[in-house]
Amino acid sequence: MTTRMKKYITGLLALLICTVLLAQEQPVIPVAKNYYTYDYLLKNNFWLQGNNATGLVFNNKALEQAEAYSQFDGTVSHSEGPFRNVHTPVSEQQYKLNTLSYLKFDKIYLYGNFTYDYNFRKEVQWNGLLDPTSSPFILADSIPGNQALERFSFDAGIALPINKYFSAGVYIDYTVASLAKHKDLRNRNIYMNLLLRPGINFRSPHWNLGANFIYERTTEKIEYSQEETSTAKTIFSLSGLWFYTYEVSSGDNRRKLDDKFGGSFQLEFISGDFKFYNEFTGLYSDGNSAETGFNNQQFGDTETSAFRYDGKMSFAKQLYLKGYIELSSMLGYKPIQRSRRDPDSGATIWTTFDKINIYEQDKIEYGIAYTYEEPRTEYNNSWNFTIGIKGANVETAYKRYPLKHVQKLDYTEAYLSFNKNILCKSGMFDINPGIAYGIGSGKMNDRKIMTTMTDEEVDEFITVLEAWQLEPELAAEFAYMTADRLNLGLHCRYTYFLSKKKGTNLYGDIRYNYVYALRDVLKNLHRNYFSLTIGLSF
Amino acid sequence: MKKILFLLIGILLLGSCLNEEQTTSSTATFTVKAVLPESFGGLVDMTKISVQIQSIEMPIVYRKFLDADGIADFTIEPGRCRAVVSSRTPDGIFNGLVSEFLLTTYGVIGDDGSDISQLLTINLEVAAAGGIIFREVYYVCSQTLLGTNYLRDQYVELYNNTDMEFFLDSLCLGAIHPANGAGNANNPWRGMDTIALYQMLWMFPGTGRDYPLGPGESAVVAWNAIDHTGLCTSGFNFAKAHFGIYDPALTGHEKHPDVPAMIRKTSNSSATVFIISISSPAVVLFRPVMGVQRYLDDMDTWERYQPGTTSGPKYWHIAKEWIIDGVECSNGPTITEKRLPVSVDAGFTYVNTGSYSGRAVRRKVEQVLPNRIVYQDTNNSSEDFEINVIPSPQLKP
Repeated sequence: MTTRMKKYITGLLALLICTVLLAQEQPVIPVAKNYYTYDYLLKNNFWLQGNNATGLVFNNKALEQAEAYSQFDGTVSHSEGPFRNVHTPVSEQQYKLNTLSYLKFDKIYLYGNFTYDYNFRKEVQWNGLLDPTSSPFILADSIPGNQALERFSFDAGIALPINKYFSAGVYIDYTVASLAKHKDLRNRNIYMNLLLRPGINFRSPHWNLGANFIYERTTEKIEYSQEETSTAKTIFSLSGLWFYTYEVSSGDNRRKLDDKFGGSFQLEFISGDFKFYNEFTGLYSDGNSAETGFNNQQFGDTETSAFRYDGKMSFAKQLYLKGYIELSSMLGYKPIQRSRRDPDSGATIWTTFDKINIYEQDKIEYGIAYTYEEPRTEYNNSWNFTIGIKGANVETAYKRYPLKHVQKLDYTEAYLSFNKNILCKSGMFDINPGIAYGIGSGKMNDRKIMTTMTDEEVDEFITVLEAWQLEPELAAEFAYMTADRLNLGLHCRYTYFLSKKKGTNLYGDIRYNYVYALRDVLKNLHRNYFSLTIGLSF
Repeated sequence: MKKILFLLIGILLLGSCLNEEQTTSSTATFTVKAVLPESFGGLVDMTKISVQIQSIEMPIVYRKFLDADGIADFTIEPGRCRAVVSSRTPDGIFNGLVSEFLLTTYGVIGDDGSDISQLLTINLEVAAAGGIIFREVYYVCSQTLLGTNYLRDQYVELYNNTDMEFFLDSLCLGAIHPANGAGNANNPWRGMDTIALYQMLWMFPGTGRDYPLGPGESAVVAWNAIDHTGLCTSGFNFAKAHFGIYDPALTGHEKHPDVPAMIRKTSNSSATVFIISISSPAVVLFRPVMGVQRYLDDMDTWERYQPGTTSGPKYWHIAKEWIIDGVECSNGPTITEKRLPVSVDAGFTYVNTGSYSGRAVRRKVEQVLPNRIVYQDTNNSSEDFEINVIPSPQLKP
């Protein structure tokens, strides 16, 4: 090979090497979807947290950028601590899988969410219903035992623009759950909830109006039984403010049924960067607690009405102001009934002739919060903070003519949270500390007289043969609900840009909460909450 | 902020869809009229007699004194109620009972469910204080030393409350059907003139004068007349009981050889053990007026199926006039089924410390005399008995 040939070959090789070196992949800038979190969708479209499924059509801008948003995650959480309510477990572990998706298909807007969770609760008592606060008429037992709760929940929404101005849509939510206690007296609950919300809306450049109907049915079957037979157990029938009757029994059963009807109106005003969303909701609920067989024995009816206002305001996607107020009233009725043996069948049949009101609860819940976000890009904030206040006033009365027992409780909580977003090459890190301070007050059990009789006349007229109010439980519940508390929390999330081209992220989320009672009988009691979430968004 | 909240509340409550009438109507007004036996008409000061309206579902009692015409107006909470008159007046002991009535906001519902009335009538009876009475009734049982249930130590104690000698020979002891008066009890015999017995009756042995009971003396009848010491928390030594529930055919019973056995007479029950309700029994001491044997020979008259049935167990009935004493018991301050008539027991007593708690009911002391104690006996165990007492059977020395 000649020298010239060698020079040519060397030069060619050098050129090839340089070409290879220079042809390395250029850094890929993440697409907008990499910066998405579910929170962005909710802040961009206030209708998503409302009652009207047609609000899905306002996802157009977000979904144009992303085509669709989906996430799939699994969560493990653990909570424990002595600062708890009477029916809260001493400790609880939860294992949860969740998948959620927003999608636009041609002109149709779709939403779907599926959740499965399994909860293992330790040392639970007085927990005869999935939600022990949903009715005053409850079967319950006092012996602490472990409890398992398994739940499947599916909800979906669909919205379709009919023309330039109108859209129609429907939302459905279906949940089934089973709850089982592992110690006598042991309850087994089968729960079902079905929610339907069909709606329409009217769209214009500055005004969006909506209306939807709400129907919800909840059923819960409760069966108490006893496996070990060498000792007798007591089952309590509660009817409000921990007043009870009891029987020594190896089992009992009930069926709880609630039907809820209502509707919402939405009104949204948009002008430039300013957006103001309002939703007014009215609901009426009819509940009944009865035995599960065929003898028609009733245990109590409830009637609940609720009115709620939600308002959300945003300016330039930097300033957010949200507020809500809900007023609700529940009345509980005792049936006036008696049993007779049917001469033909020999079965005992109960006939209800009347009902009287023995329980009332009026509740006001409210909250307002201000958020400021410092934007980095349209989809990503450098930092933000939220400051807010929320609270509740509850007045509950239990009536046994001429006596009336009244409980009042007030709770107000102020909170502040800050979030800092740190961008790296391969992902981003969010760190979010928060603090809340709550104060409570009230009167636990005020004995009032519903007539013009004096105290002495009442004492002569009516005798309660023995104390039939569970005073330790009443006091424990009241102490928890009105305890002054400090709540410290830290939430950290790391998002890894798994595919910068497709906007796919892998994220890991850690949360820790510490609640600490500050005063009175629960002073120094605390409760911890910890959760770990790993998920994929795409 | 508060003013805005109250304004919103006011506006929204105007449109409340809840029934206002139902939110305020939680009372019922009705009149009770007590009627004396004809022989006492006009001779009794009715204002000394009180009426109690007891709720069957809740431990609440309303009380008012009658006016001179024997009338009292009540405004109370509606529900399933019982009306009881039990008054000791200078004119005598008057008892009256309406064992159950249903009071609604519209009035008192009649038995057939159709009549509504604002008037409830109680017929009063004169209650005679008895000779032999139940001093103590122990039915809740106790526990073994390992904490399991022990059902073998039930007993009743009879007592001679007079200054005369009585004989126990051929007196009969039994429990009333339905066995339970609390919980989901239902009395198929409601409205009948006779009273049904539960399972079997037990007769005191003797030929007429073999078993005397002197003034102030007790006789303990034990369900298992053995020494329970070391077997259970009650630790009774019923080897010193006066009588034992025992029959060789009943494999569930034991008896010390020195304790006389009661004589079993049974209906067509196939039970191998006799145990009264551990929650709410009603026990009676009685003597058929025609004699036990002639009573047993006339079962065509006294034995019957449950109403509405023509097969299954048959129950022996007795007349309320044969009852010397009876005690209605419950497991708490309410009772669903009152089985004994008012002339026998106008009220009920109870142990509410729970089954297997080892407590009993005992009659109150009315008077302590030099040679004996007189116990209270108004034929109303609500007034006559102490509840939840530690048992103290007066055994043989």
